[in-house]
Amino acid sequence: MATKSGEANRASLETRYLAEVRQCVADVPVRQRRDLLRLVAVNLDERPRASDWPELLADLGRPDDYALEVRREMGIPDKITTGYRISKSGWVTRAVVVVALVVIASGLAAFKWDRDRAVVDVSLGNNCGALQVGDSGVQVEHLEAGDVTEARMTYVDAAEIKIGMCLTAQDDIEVLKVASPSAKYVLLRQVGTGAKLRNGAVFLDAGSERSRLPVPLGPRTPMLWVELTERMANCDHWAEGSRMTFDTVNVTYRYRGHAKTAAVDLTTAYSVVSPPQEDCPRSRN
Amino acid sequence: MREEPFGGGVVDLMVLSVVQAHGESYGYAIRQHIKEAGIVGLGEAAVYGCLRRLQKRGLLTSREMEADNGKTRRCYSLTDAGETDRLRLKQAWESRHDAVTRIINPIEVD
Repeated sequence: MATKSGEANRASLETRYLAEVRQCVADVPVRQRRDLLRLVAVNLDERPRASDWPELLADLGRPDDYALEVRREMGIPDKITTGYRISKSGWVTRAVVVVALVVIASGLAAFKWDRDRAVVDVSLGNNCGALQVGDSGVQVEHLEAGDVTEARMTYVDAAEIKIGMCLTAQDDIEVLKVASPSAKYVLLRQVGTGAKLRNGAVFLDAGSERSRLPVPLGPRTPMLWVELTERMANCDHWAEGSRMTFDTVNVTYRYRGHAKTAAVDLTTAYSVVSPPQEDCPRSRN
Repeated sequence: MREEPFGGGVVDLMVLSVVQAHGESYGYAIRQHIKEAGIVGLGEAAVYGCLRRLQKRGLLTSREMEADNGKTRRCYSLTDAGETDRLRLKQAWESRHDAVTRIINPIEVD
């Protein structure tokens, strides 16, 4: 157990590091930011695990320096500001542009929840709950680096695995639903308040009390916790070696009375592999 | 591209050269090769950022591979375009190196 605890602590160091880098790149457009953070996660995953925070800082540098260096190498400006640049045109044009901006800004303020900042950002990781095996019979192979955790799960009936999920959101957001949009395989369907995988192998129950409670988020508590609970079910509908992977979830939330669904890319793909027959608690017949 | 003094491209050259010399490699190993060669000031961030940029430019390709310890690694290989660019950068570097050498070691004239 001590080993597991130590391992978890070291993983949380990397999670913390990644979280701090994330804060340093908050100004980067979402696609580039996602790309950048995946890169950082790969780096953290591939390198030997540091034993403590000073060692990690000694190896990688401060997160802000790291962020600066990696964004420079990726060709991302040091600081990205948004706004309109007024060209060298006459004062009338400038005045029109200013008035237009004021009008647009007023409109955006009124529909603030619909702007990009209202779209939840997501990460997975120990700092937000981590993977916790609720049943000792579950075999989960963790490939962890920072908040990128790939879980390869061996099939065990009725075992539960919780995946910590951390959402950054604005004030007064109520998470209503978390589901997979993998329509290709029709993996998920809504059952009651939860999301459920059809045909067996995985049951995603997003309807836990915690995930559905309105979470008062404020400037001092910018992180919203949501727990996904995966329930390994039976082998009935899945051949040995069948693999299901999902790397996106749809988060439906309510903000100021409006419900909205945001597709959120996970920083890693979750794969579930159906086990050999001898490991199935129930027959495939 | 990142601006560096004297034309830049040195990090690119080192990364491409390591991949060329060692074959398919992952980021941390590439950085270790560079560090072991005596370049200690190049951080992991720079190497990983460089790899991503070179891949976007089509100079490297990558694929995920499973290591012996079960971890997944993103391994990079040189493309033909990458090899062409490596040779170009190498030539530029050698030219600059010669020029700087001439400056810091001037021939004394009696």
